[in-house]
Amino acid sequence: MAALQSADVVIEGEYHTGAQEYVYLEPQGMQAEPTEDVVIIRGSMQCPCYIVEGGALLLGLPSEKVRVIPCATGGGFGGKEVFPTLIAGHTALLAHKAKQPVRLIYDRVEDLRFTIKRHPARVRHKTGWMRDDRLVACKSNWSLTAERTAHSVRWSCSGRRFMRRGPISAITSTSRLAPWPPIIRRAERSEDSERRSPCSRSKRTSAATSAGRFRRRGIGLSLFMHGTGLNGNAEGFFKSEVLLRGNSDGTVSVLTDQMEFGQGTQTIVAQLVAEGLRVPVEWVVAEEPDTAESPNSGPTVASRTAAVVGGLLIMAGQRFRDKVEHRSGGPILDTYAFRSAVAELVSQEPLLVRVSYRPPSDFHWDEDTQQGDAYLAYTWSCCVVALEVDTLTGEVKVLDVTAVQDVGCVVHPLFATGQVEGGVTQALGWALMENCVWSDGVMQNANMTDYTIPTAMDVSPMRVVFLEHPHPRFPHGAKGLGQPPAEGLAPAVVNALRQALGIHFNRVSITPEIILPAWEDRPS
Amino acid sequence: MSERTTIRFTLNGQPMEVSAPPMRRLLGVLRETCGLTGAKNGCGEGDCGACTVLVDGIAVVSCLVPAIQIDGAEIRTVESLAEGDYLHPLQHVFLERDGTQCGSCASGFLMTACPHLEHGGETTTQYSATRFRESCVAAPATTESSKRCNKQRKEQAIMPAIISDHRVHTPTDVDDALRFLADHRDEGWRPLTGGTDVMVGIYRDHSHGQRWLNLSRQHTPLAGIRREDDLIRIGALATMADLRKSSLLAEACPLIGQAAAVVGAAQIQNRATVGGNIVNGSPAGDTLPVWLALDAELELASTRGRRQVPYGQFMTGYRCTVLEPDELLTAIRFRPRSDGQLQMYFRKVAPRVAQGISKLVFMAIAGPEEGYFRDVRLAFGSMGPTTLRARAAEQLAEGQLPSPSLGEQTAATLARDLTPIDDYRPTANYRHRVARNLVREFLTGNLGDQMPVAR
Repeated sequence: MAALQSADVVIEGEYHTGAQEYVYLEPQGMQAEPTEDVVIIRGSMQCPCYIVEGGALLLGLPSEKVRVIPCATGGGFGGKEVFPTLIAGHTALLAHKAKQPVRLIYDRVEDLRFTIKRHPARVRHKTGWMRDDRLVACKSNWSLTAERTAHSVRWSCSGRRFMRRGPISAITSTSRLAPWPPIIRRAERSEDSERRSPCSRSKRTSAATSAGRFRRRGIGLSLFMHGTGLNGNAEGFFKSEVLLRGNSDGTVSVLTDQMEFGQGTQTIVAQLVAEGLRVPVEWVVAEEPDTAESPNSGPTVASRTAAVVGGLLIMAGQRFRDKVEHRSGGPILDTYAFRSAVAELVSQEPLLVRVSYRPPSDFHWDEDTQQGDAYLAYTWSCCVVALEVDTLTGEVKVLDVTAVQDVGCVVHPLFATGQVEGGVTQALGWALMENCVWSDGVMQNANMTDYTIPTAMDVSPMRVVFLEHPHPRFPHGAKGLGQPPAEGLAPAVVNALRQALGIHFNRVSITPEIILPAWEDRPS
Repeated sequence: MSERTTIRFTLNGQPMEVSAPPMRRLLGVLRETCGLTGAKNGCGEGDCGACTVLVDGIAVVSCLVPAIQIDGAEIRTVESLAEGDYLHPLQHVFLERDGTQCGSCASGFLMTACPHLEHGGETTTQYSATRFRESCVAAPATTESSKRCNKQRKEQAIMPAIISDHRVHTPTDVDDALRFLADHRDEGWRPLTGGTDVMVGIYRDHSHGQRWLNLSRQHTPLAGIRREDDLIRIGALATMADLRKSSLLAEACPLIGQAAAVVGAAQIQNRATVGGNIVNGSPAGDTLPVWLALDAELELASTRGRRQVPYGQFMTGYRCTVLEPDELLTAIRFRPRSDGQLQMYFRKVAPRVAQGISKLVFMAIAGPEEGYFRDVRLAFGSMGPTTLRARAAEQLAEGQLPSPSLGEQTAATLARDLTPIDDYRPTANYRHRVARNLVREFLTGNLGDQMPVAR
């Protein structure tokens, strides 16, 4: 690669990341009931639409003969995206053939042994830089393994998480330079200059705060970005739909199959429709998903609900109001009058507004050449971690986390903060504690005692900061929020450990069993 | 063969009578027999706390409570909190302050917090930090048992175990228990106390056909902590919570309370007994190095009489002890050491701050006499098939002044006495490194006053 050869500085590295178990609150479980007309499937899930499609295919039925009614779901974290379709298939097939209801619920050990994990990765990066900060070449090689789990590896390696150089790796895999906020260029510059200067490392190490005889402290920073919604043309392919229905009391019901599993979907769905309708949020009813009624709004994944579906909800609200005003003969300024108008119209005929997704006209992605917009938008984020290493045991105590993200628009401050705190906590486990142990294709530590996730006692004080630069591709400007907070902590921890110990770890999770030998056997 | 027992208890104020296998989980009885689904099944082994309910006013994880032990008890679940449309103050606060996200574990949080609101109790920051937020630990199962478990799993298809063929006998008092054991000496009856490790074993390994002698807290001679002349006597049925809260122990040896406080979480500490921790025979038991370092004596009783066995001679191998099939551990006695300025150090190294299985437990006591080490005890858990003393290091340190060279010298001898297993939780190499560091720094004089609880 000629560009690499002409670069002033070439940075090269290999990084390894471990598998992560999702640890949703209840183990996987499904129930199928055959009825005269349809097979009804209930259970814990993120994506009712996948189960309708999978069930119809498996049973050889038209999709309207498979009705999915999700149960209250305790967290998904990605683990209830694809896998529930398998169990739904098992129960539906048995129920369909046996003409009996069938329920299948895993216990936690079965769940850990048989379900998917977030795949581990090996990443090789080579980047070429010019003295004036220009990135001129980038070569990246990714290897993701399903680690003998049932999950097929898909092409999207564009950055759920990656080590240290998030922006660069994302650019590599998306084949287009997104505009870089200046802050990232400044940060990269300082890091590079540090790497160029051989003396800076020892200087920095000695500067690490000593917090007592057997404690060393360090601070690390990471900068990263995450695409909003499904990548490439997938959003256009799914053509997500939402449906509003006027009720006889003048309230408006929202039907989507976006799932609530703790992230606040039900609340923001009502909020966003109320925004479009310009009525109090209490007058909007977010109906529970049931595929007999609710349209396919796409999977509840990929940080897409608030941004992509949220945009549709606002538009739907606006169109609903337009329709009501049009039929009532003109603008209605008073909200109570609007409600009366809705009730009046509903008493005559059903009042429905259906909106489906269309990609923005400025969005282009060429699947063949892999050129264009890989995502609708990017959430730009920064994470700063202060930590303390116990040099007798290699244990790490995270002292403080500051998480900053530009999410475009904060729809619900409390839920948004909760998403960030949860994502950071999940990442803390991934960075420092969690470790899937495999032997002959079987997870050995398949219980919650041996697969250790953080408790609240492992979590440090956390400062959550939102920046709001509304993105023009969404009516309200909101970008993805669900996944990004989980991405930045690990690279910040790696950098903090480098400051504390003068050791650069190129893999996560970085457990005490890795830290202690590295510290004790370091070259003097 | 299916053995069922009639169990009578009060559920949210209503008398209940159910027929259930005696070792069935209380969680299963509540959800499937009684139809109360407020308590959730998250992990099934006492880690997550989502199944927390109150048994006689005490928060416990219902996945680790065998049905037989709720006979005669008063059970309260989350369903009891609200009265009609009137929410319990806790529910009200959770609602008002958006205290839930998905809500799956909300009932666990509510039932853990409930006794504190209703009966007062410990409300220090330490308490709320350690009890309210964490969930808890299941008791240690080690590689051997997980290997065994894997083997079994490969041989049998994994099927949910219906725990129906365990047999349970509930004696009326200690003498009755001892008579029963004498009469059924060769039938493999084992004592069942808090059940926090037993239940994990049964459900994780899908074991069956075991026989359990149900010793409940009603057997008062086996509970309680008291002074006996110049000794302290701890009844075998004293719970970790009892140890943690005892002012007598706090005065005699504060490290006992510290060791008890790092066993699982509040719900586990409310049920796990000190006798169970000892008789269980796992080298990873969190309190065990404390008894070893204190030279505690165990009182073993049978119809043949009573005998005293020093704790150091009790464990003979991995999950092997000198306890005869007709014997029960009834009490632990130790002499509080108060010789001069005692240096003491307790440290549990685990995968996380709370609720971790120990990678290593270290308890050190030394009585410096005019600056010189006297009667040095360096006790370890999780560093071999049994709890172990680092004898060579102790001998070297005897009569010496604390110094870096003594630290280095003694640390180098540890490999002679410590023989940890090498597996993922964690490697032997890691365990040796930590043991070396802790002994070196203790004998250098750097750790004497630092007594961290966990990390």
